[in-house]
Amino acid sequence: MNDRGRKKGFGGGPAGAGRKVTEVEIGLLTTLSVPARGSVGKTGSWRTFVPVIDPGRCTKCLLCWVYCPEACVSRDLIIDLDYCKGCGICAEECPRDAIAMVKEEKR
Amino acid sequence: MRIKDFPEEELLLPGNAACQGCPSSMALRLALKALGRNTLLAVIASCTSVLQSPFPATAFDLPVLNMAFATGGATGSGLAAAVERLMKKGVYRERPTVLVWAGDGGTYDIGIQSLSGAAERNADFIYVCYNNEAYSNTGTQRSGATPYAAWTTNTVKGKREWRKDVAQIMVAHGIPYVATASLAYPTDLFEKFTRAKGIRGTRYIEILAPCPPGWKFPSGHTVKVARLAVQTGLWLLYEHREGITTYTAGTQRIIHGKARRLPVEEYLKAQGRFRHLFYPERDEERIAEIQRRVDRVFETLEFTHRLKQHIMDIEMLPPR
Repeated sequence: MNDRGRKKGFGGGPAGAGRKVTEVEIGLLTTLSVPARGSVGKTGSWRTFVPVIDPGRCTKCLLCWVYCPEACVSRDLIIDLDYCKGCGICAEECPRDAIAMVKEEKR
Repeated sequence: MRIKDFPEEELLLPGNAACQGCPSSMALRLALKALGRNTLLAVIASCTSVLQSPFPATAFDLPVLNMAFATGGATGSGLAAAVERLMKKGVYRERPTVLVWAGDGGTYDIGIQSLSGAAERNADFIYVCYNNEAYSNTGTQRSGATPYAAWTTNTVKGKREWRKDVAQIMVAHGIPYVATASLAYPTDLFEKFTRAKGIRGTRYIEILAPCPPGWKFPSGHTVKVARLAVQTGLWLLYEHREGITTYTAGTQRIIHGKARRLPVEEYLKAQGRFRHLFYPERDEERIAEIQRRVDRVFETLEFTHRLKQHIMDIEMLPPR
């Protein structure tokens, strides 16, 4: 959307014309939600088993990146443990069995 | 299209309220990768309304409109009309894609009349039904998409009726593009969305979404169950364009005789919702009934394929 669309705005009111709108303003004064990582907190605390990649076996086929429903596996195959819910799809789908689900000690 | 070429940009952010191993967030993530940031998303009441997370944060990094259950088609038509008007006014530099995202309850049962109306008007939007074969958001009640013999909270001994096929109903509407997809074939799903993006008019894509809590299997098996559905022939992958149905990916491999079709038992055994077919004793009758149905469908498909090959051999027609 170009400037013309933004000036008119959907929230109206205090979010007003031309001014740069900060996230706090949107959050408090209008009903618009702000896109954010961890919108329900650190979902990593849901997990019982944690995925561990064995770099020696990994062929970088990126299947775990594609199948991760949380978008927690990066293109460089680093798993974001703050948000990984531990569903185990990456370990199940890895064609080389390079990912193991290891029981996690409670933090 | 290879997996390596998928765009890196994430429009569905981590830390959302979806269950572990959620097929809906997985499907939406792949769909948004294919459609790109210039998309207007309308979410019809379903699990996807919930996984956006509570105010003031949202997990979706693009404009989202949350709408009531029965309004899928109407919302799509309205957004498409608004986009048309704003394009004329010059507000958009590039035409945004309107994506309506609904579950099977909002498509098969509650939303079908507005969807049918919009399809008849050929309104310009992509309608996606992610089909988890029950009202999973409210605790797994039966829907029009629930398959024969499946457990839900109100079909305790297994559903007595067969599911209806809304993808074929949409084919009968004569809209420009109808496709079915599976989470287990991401490149196929990605290509279907890219193709749908390039077409104007109503486009319907249905994705089979195995739901771990609703179908009762471990959260890691989402993709495995989705793959078994295709390999056993209970879920057909195809796209329908200009009056021609083309079977794709796993289904095509089976029809062309390049892959063996697995017995339906393997798919049924992988899920707890079919447990009453195997425990306390095997219900041979119902398992055989499901197998017979699939066999009949594939008999026709394989026959049609062989016939086409035969005619091509005789007349030396160029392959289509």
